[in-house]
Amino acid sequence: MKRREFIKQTGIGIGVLALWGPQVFSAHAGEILPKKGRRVVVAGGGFGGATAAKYLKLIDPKLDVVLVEQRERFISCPVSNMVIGGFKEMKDITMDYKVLARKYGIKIVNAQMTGLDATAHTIETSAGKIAYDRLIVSPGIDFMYENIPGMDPQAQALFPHAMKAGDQTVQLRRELVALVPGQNVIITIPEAPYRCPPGPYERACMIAHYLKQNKKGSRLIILDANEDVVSKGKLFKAAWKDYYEGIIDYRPDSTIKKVDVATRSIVTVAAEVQGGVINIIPDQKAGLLAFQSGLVPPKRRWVPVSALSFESPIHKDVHVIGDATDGEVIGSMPKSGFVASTMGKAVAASVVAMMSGREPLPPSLANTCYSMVNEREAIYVTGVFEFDARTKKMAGVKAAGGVSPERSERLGIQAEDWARSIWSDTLG
Amino acid sequence: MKATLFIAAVLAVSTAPALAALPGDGERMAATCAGCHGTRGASPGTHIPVIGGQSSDYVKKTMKGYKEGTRAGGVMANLSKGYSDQQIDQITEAVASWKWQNSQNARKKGKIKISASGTEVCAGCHGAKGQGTPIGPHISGQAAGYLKEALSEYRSGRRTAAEMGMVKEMTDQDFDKLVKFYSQQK
Repeated sequence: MKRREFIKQTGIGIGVLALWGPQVFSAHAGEILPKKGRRVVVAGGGFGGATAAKYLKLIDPKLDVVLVEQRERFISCPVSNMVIGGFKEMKDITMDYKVLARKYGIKIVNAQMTGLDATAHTIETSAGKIAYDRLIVSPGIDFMYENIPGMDPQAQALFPHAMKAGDQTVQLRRELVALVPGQNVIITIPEAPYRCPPGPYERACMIAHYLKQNKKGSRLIILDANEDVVSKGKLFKAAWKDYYEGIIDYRPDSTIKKVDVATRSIVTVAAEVQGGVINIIPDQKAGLLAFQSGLVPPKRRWVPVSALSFESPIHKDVHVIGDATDGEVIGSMPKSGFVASTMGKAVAASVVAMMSGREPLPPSLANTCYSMVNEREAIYVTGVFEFDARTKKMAGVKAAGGVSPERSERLGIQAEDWARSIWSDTLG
Repeated sequence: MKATLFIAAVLAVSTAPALAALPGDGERMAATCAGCHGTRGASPGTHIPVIGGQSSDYVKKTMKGYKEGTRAGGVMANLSKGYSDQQIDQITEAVASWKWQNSQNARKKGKIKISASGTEVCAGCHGAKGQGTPIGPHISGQAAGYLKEALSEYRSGRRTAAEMGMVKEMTDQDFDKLVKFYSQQK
């Protein structure tokens, strides 16, 4: 399809282009979307990147903003555990990026970023080169399979992590439904920090709920590399005791030593367990893109950035946000969609300031995260993080951090509203 | 020499692009609110209220109430403690400066007929159509679930306000009527 036809068929005027896909540019090597005015390119359209792109436009509508994202549609990690439990469907957590193009004039390039030339101020993508004045990278996470002996590509395919919502969410759900009653399910949890601290425990609730109603005799074994539940611990354990006694078998301090595909078993220091469904959540590191772009120093897992501007100390005019950022450098914060979203808003303000020679603005970050413990009741955790000029890190405000006093249906309703709101704040 | 400098200065001014106004401290802190209350406070939820364009006095009183524990709350009871009183003033000014956008979650079924006297008791503080007055918050076009919950909480005593004492005598049916009426107002 020729470019003009593409534009015509999709009904989009030249001024507000959307979805420049590889199909449009496969014949063109070299640069796409030649840069005319001041431009920020955002690579990665998760909660961090998509929010940054939108808020750049809200702050400075004249700025040329390009969002590069390889997935055609956004699939939300929050609420994806409800899909695994059978309370929601994939369509409930799948959204598209069109509104960002239509409403704000963000140019969306449906392609994968593959490299960075920070000196030339260009990125390499599967659709061609794109020039920028400033770049915001929101690379997300990747997995350190190399830390688990036996975790070869075959094992990776058989034992999904489902920590990036998508095909693996569907796979885990399908396997649960197909489980032979009496066979066990295993979840393994890596040592913190990892994406979404309460996520694996919420998933345990969803799976246990499903087993209780549908798979007589099946148990859920949680092998946690941490010494205790990482987030909302008392609340999760209370729910496990009240609702899933005899189903959830929680084993702290249980780092995986080995996996065996043939016997479907996992070996820890203390035991060897077998499972009909095995959900292995490996150790995590910054997304591949961060490594390909040279944003991670040798021997490190996460991306160092200035806590004030999120600019990389390695590459000038390149900012990094989201789960991939290094908590030891910017201050410890949960790797959550909500925190990434507030980082997106903060970096947008600082980038607009810095592009016009002004100082970056101190970020104001926060976290609000609900977890479901069954199909109706939820619990939450909160945090507010402010820039400490002395340590040059973000620091949690003590009084604002904490969890809900109890679980309730009222919070379950709020959890649903929370999801609608953050989805619309990110993509709508 | 002076003339040259003057010309150079004029040129610099006239060719420099207009700088985008940067969001102030209040606007940047308030951006966090959008995570749960929608972009610029236009909540898409059924129970989490619209706050953009709400009266600043009311938002301020509410957030300080959460902070001091005089108003019972969920996440807001925690989050409000993350900001100084001065910061809360800045945040609430920003929230109030946003444009009010009616909730998409009105009680839709059937246009409600309610006699003028049925809302008289509310109109004094909330305005004839519930659009808010200096002494009462904007309630028209508010999320229906939120309005119902607020009324129920004033009745049960979980929330307190002397001005809301009249709801103690009301029934759930009365609440439903009021919720329908106000959530449907444009």
